[in-house]
Amino acid sequence: MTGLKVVFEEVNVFSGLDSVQILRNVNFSISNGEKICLMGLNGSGKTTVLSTMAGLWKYDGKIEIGSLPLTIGNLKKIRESIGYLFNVPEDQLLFTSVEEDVALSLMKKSMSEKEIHLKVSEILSLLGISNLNAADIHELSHGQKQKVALAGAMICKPPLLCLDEPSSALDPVSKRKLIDMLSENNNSTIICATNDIEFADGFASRKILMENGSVLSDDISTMELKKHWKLD
Amino acid sequence: MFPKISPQGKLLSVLMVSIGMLMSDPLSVTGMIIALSGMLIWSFIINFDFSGVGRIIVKILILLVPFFLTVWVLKFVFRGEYSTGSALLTLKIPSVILFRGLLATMVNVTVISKMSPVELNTAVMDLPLPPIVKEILASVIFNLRNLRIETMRILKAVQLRGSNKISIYRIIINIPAVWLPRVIIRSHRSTDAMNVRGIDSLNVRFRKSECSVYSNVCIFTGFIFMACSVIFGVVR
Repeated sequence: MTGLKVVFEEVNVFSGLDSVQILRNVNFSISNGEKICLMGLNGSGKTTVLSTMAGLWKYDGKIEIGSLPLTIGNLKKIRESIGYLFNVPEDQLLFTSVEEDVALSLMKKSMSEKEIHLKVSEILSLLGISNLNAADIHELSHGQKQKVALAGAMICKPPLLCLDEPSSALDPVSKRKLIDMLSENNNSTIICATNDIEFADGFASRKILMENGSVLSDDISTMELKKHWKLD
Repeated sequence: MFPKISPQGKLLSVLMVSIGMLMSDPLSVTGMIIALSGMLIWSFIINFDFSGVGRIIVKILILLVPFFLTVWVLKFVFRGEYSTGSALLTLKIPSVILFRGLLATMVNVTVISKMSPVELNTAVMDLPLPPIVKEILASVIFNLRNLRIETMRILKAVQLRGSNKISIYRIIINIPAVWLPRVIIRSHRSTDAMNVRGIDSLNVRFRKSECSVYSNVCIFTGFIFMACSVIFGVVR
C-alpha cells in the first residue's frame, strides 16, 4: 500500500477580501493509501479543504502532506505528488486537444511519445472516452470535460488524489466505472469532496462530515449521515 | 484528390499570400495579373473551399467601402493632385485599399476560420518563431475562444430569460457587471489550475505534425507569389 499521509491540525482559513473565516479549527488525519470522502452540504468548506491542501489558500495551523509541512518552500514538491480534479472541470483543461491535456503530467516526466500515447489511450478507454482522443476540448459536454479532467489527474498514478465533486456531471454508468477505478487504485491516498452518499459508499473507507467550515464528525456512518441531513 | 496539407503549411502559405496581396499593385495591368493569377494558382493548390465566400466578401465590403468616404476628406485636407485632380484620381487610394484589403482578408478569413482550434494551435506551435511568441499566440487563441464561449453562454441565457422588453433591457444593462467578473474569476481559476498542474508554459507538446512534400509545395507557392508582388512593387 502506497500513498501519502495527510494531517490537518487546527487549520483556519480566512478569505482574502473580507477576512471571513471559511475553515474553523479543522482537524483530521488520513493514513497512507486511505480512501476518504469529505461529505458536506453546499458551502460547508469541502472545496476549501482540498484547495488549501494544494496550496491555493493561506492558512493558520499545521498541514502535513507525506512527511512535508505545507509551506511555500515545499509547495512545488507537494504539488508534483498531487493529482487534482477541480469542481469546475473546464477550468483545468488548458490545451486544445484532449490527448495533449491528458498527457501533460507524463510529458513533464519526459516519457517517449509512444509510451505517452499508450498510457493516454489506456486511461481514456478505462473512462469510456477513447473516441475523444483527438477531440477539441471546447466542443465537449460538461460530463465529458469532467472525464477528461479526471483522466489528466489520474494518469500518472499520483500518491495523493484530490477529487472535488468527481461524480457531479457523470451518468450512472460512468459513475460506476469511476467507483471501480477508485476502489482498485492501491497507489494513492484518495480524498474526495462530495455530497453523493451512494458514490462515497462505493469506494470510501471513511466519511468525514463538514459543516460551516468545521469538521463535525471524523468518521460518520451512512445511516448517521442520512439522519443528520434528514433524508430518512 | 488533393493531398492533405499540414496545419503549419496552411498557416504559413496563407500568411505569405496575404502579404503578397497587401503588396500587390492593382493600378497597373502587370500588378493586377500577378495578384489575380497568384490567387488562382494558390487557391487551386490549397484546394480552396469556396463555400460561404460570397457572405465573407459582403462582410469585408461593408468593412472597407466606407474608405471611399475619405475621398471627400482628402479633397479638403490636401492640396495639389487631390484637390485639383479628376474624380478618378481621387478614387485611387480607397480603390487600392479595397482591392488589397478584400483579397488579403478573404484569403485569411476563409482558410483560417475553417481550421479547427486543434489544427490552429498545432500550426502556431510549429511556426518558425521564438517559443515565447508562439506561447503568447497560443494563449491568445485559447483565451479568445474561452471568452467567445463564455459570451455565447451569457447571450443564450439572455435569450431564454429575457421574455419581455423590460427584462431584456435590465439584463442587457447588467451584462458588463456579470460578464466581466465571470471572465476574471474564470481566468483566476485557470491560473490556480496551472499552478496545481505545474504548468508554466502552454508550449508543451509530445507530438509534432509532419510537414509533407505537398505542404512544402504549398508554402513555396505562397512564397513565390509574395516574392513576385514585393519585387514588382519595389522595381516599380
